[in-house]
Amino acid sequence: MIDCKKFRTQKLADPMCRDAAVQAHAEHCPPCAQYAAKLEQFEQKLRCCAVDACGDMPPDLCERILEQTKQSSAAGNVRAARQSWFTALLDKLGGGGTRTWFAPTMGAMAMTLVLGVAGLISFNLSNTPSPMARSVIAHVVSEPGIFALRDQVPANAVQLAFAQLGGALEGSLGEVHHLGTCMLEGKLVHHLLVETPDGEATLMLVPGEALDAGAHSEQGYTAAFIPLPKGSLGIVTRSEDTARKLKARLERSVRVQS
Amino acid sequence: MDQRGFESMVRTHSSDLYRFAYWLSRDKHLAQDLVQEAFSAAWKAFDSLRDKTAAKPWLFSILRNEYARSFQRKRLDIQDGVELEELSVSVPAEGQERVELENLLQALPENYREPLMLQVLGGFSGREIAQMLNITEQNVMVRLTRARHALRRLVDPEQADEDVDVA
Repeated sequence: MIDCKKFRTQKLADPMCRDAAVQAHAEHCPPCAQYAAKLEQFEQKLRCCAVDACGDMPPDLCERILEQTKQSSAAGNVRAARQSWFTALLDKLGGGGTRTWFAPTMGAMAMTLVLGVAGLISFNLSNTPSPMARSVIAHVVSEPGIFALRDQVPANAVQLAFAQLGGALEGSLGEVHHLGTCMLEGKLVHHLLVETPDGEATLMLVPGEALDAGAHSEQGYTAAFIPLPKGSLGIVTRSEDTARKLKARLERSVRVQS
Repeated sequence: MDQRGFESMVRTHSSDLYRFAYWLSRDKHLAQDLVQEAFSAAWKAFDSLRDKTAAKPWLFSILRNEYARSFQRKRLDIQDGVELEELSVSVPAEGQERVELENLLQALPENYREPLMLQVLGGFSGREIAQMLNITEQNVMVRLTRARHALRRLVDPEQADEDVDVA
């Protein structure tokens, strides 16, 4: 049998604890049973508070997660198909590594072909969009509610966001409707919604690599990047024309901090 | 990969994960992003989850890792230098007790808030929490005891007087 001190310690650590020893003590000690009942009431309050404070999970979050998974699977399948095709080609050329008569001339031919194919593939890859361009577009598509936001964003907060990537903004971007932080590819990025003279745009200040990839369009959006000392400024707009004009404007108005 | 099994896991655990993510980051938008990132990582490693009944603690651990990876290096606006003794609350007005409790939970230092939320929201045992946080079960129990006592001391001092000495 545990004593009152042990009982209360155990209950305070886990009010829902239903250990036999704990139960047995409560049955024989009315003050501790009362203590446990009050603690359970407090626990209910605590749980309600913890749940209510978060609000409901957005109803579309599950769908967004599943959609993201499907896209990732589809990309994985394409990669796997490419890989298996490539392996099959090597097998054909090299005899699959199981035949002992693999002639040096065949090896040389195989190597020539392999290098040719590798070159072709790398050329194709260089023409594909950067993963970050796809990610920023996917992020914008996944948060349509942000376009309705009309927050009061202090100018110094915008400056601070740029400064974190080693940039300084000269002049105004336009009307900033929202400035928040989001997760993107495991990085914490600043997400701005701006009404610029060229049209509405989402700007994403992505820390890390300075990207200078060409513009990329998909899902009705165009993404472009401006490299900064400590990351990249991603520009996402609904039209290619707006992205092009805005990129040119920002290249003039964002200066690198020394 | 077992797409259907994964989908079922998403639908079953996303709400709990979202709530836990909220209490880690204390920001609803970040919480959503964290849950998405966690499931994205979970999908990539789904085949390694042999015991599908252990999905819940596995997902919570992934989410913690995502949070640690992304946030703890760059704590933009989170300050956790508060000690339990420094927690304070104004006298709650009628019907305001829950607001005060929420504020206290927000202000609770992370090393106390995290195990508490894993227990209150996730329903995990002391042993499971210890494994997730990589600390001893004894340490988890001490943190839980102290966290609850600190909250009770401020919300209901009379009841907290009946708590054992948790110093």
